[in-house]
Amino acid sequence: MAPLLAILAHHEDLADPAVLEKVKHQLDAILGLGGGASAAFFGTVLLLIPVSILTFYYFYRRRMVDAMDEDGWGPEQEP
Amino acid sequence: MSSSGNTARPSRRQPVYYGWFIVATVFFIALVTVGSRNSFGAFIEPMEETLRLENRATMTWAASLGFLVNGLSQPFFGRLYDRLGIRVIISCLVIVGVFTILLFLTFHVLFLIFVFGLVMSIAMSGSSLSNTGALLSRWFRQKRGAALAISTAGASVGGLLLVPFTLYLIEATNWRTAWIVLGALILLFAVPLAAIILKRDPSDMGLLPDGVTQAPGSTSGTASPLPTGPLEVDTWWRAFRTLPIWQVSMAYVVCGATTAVMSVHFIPYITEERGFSAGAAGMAFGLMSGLNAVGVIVMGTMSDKFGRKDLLGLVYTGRGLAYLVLLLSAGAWGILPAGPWGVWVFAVVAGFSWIATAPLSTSLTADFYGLKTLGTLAGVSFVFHQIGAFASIQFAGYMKDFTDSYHWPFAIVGVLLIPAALAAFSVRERKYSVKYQQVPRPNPSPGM
Repeated sequence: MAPLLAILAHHEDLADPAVLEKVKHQLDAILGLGGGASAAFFGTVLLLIPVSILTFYYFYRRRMVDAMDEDGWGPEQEP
Repeated sequence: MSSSGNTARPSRRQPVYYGWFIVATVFFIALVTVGSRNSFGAFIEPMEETLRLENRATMTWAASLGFLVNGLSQPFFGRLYDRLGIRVIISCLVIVGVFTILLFLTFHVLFLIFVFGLVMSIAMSGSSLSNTGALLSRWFRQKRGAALAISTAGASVGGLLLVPFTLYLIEATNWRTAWIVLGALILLFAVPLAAIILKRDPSDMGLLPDGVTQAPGSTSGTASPLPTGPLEVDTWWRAFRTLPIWQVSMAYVVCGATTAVMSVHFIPYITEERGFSAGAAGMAFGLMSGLNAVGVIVMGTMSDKFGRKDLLGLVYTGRGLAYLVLLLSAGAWGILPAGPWGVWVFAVVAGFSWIATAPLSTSLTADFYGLKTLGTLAGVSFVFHQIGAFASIQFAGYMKDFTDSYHWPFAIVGVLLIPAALAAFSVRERKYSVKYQQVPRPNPSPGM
């Protein structure tokens, strides 16, 4: 059964618990934080991605609305 | 909705082309969905303890079944996407999020097999890279390779971020809380992001696809009909009556074979036959995995400028040379000096090529066969990839038992890269790709 674990190859490989253990030891040495602090660190990095996308999106929409107002386009109007 | 002949608002005032928001969203969807799946390995030991399982195979059965179900269901979800659009992606994300949370209730391995192995794995096909690739192909024509590559890189980054996050979360809390947090990440961030930002077609926003401009002399922002390639199809199976889809798909079988065999057998090979310590082996494998994201973005971006089929051929050629160096540096035939250097060269070169084939193959398929059935075609291609993956893993396992070495199975699988590269190089991209058809007036992509 073990070989089947990698059936999705490079797209969706399943992390091997033994390799994960080594990864964690290396990360512990680099970060030097406890479990909770390290989880918070990675969680923050993860959350920054959608928050950044939404922030840029907000400014994009605002700028588009301003541009349409300048051109006299209503939101439903086609040029 | 077709993008041809649409009425489009001029995009001169856009600070950035809206399609890049779609790319960023799809990147995050790949990150959380593929990352959650990758993280399953972090749950194995703590869940085994709680469920009092003595055999590792019991837990991994859920994952194995999941891979199989996910691979086989992709064409069906591709077809659903072709018909229903982004509703399929968003609905499946909701299902994946809800059932990820429900995994905190796991009380028996059968529950895990049902939820993770069946329901979640089927639903993940709806938000897969095949479907999001089909979505991005509608938005991007000129920078299609780059857009698909960035979204594919999301899967690699997901492994890099979400797996350690899960490991530490389990350490700080427990596995039940970790499943809830992973599910919440999907439901509270990926789903709203997808619902707000994803649009099926540029015309939904009054825009044109990237790299397409209004027809010369057209007025009122009316775009000319987009050029269609000579192979564009309305029904997916008609594509398989033509040569290019077979060239791309057969090469993709070899891609699956040559990557999957290493995913499973690389670490045992270099520890058992090349004298690597477990730590050095993990580092070599990590280097290979880490270069995925770099390779795919570089190749995808370059394919927009230099064409796709030659780069696809180069990727297969490079991977073939990496296989050759790996085997020759083991002292075979005395051509190259034996030593560990070959393993590191292999890790760098093969890692760079690892997932670079995915956006190149999907972009070529979109360029040749159009967008109407792209979800289905990408799903079918993925099944081909998985057939190669499954066959090579089994083959290498049996050959190792038979010859007591990985050299022969690696050599045989590696030789397949020669026809794969030839198939890619011989694709007649200039003849069949819509990139090279008559375009009213190509211009740089808007806003970027």
